[in-house]
Amino acid sequence: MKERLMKCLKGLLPPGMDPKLLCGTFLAGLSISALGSLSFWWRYGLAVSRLYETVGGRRVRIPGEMMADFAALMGGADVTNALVCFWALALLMPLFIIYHYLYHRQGARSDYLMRRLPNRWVYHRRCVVLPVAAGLAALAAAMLVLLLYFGMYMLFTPGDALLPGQWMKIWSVI
Amino acid sequence: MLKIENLQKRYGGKAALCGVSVELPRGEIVGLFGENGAGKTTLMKSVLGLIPSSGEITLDGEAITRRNIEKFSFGTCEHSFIPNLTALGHRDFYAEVFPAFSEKRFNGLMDFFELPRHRPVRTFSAGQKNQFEVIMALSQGADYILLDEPFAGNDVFNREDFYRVLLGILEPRETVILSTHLIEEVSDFVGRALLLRHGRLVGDASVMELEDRGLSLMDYIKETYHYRSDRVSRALRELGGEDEA
Repeated sequence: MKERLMKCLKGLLPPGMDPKLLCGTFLAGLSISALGSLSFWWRYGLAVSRLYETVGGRRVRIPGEMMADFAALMGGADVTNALVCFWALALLMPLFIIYHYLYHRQGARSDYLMRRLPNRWVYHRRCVVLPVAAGLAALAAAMLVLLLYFGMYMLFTPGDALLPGQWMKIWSVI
Repeated sequence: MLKIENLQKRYGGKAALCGVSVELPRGEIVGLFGENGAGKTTLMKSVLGLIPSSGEITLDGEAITRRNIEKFSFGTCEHSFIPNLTALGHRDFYAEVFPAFSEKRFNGLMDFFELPRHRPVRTFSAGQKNQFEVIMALSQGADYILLDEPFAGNDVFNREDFYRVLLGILEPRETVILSTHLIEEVSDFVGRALLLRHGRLVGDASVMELEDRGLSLMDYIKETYHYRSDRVSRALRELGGEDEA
């Protein structure tokens, strides 16, 4: 299975290129992004604690106190955004396209070979497809995390503390 | 038949090829000669579409496109192999992308040159890299094999052996266009000589014609280039004169 996957990946990369570089970068980036997204839960915990106060040793809801918006807990349009590492990963992947084209000029001019192949798309397919796919996968992972966290936010937050229009506000995170 | 008509190429303001026209039928070994900057490499790259140029280049009456580009292979001293790929990796890749790839010829030439098959080509010596470049050009299954100074840096024994093997393995449909400065070395192997100078085709003769005229290939080249045989003695005389002064 692993061998088949590696063979498939090699067919989508410049000939002779080790898939580990791109895959390793992508998986490491994905892990860092997933860890970075956990900042949402830290903010969520703080927001939940603001809904309650301790009276006579008991934790009780503060009347009228509302939960912060999901979008606000995900962070602003800057580095505090819980998904910022996903965006960065998606932006990093196109750099691999440049690297793949330059690879054909390192140590030899293998671009001469690739440019005279009967199928003109082989050269471009091997330079472009995987970085684009990895970039799209990073975006898809960000969307998945967003929807997952949104679902958990709606599930775990007391219903009467939710501000209206959360679904509409979710898009401001993106 | 490869037909080149009025081929022109300029690099900035400098003309690299000025109206080159030539016809190259199948089954020849053609020597392409000329001093550095004469336009040999530019001519080959123009045929392959690696650089833009004007004029008309056709193969059997058809423009050279993706449909017939596989009829051409290219071995260059710049090297067009993939450094990180092993020799066997090249074999597999060529077999995948070039339908006429000859594994038999690949194996035969790999054995002849005794090249390692499982090492990345980047680890080869300079001579081995040149040999491998030529092996791939010859094994691709092309009708026109363009070799641009393929043996720069190889020892003379390897080169001579290679030319002998080349003569032995070429099929009647195959044409080799060999650009080189090693004129005397290839004079017994080429059947036709094309001479470029300052981007113009200044000579085109078959070796048989030259033999009929009692000329060697080197004589013909010197004659065409208006080589002044007294050049060295004059220079030495002048230099000696300076010393005396």
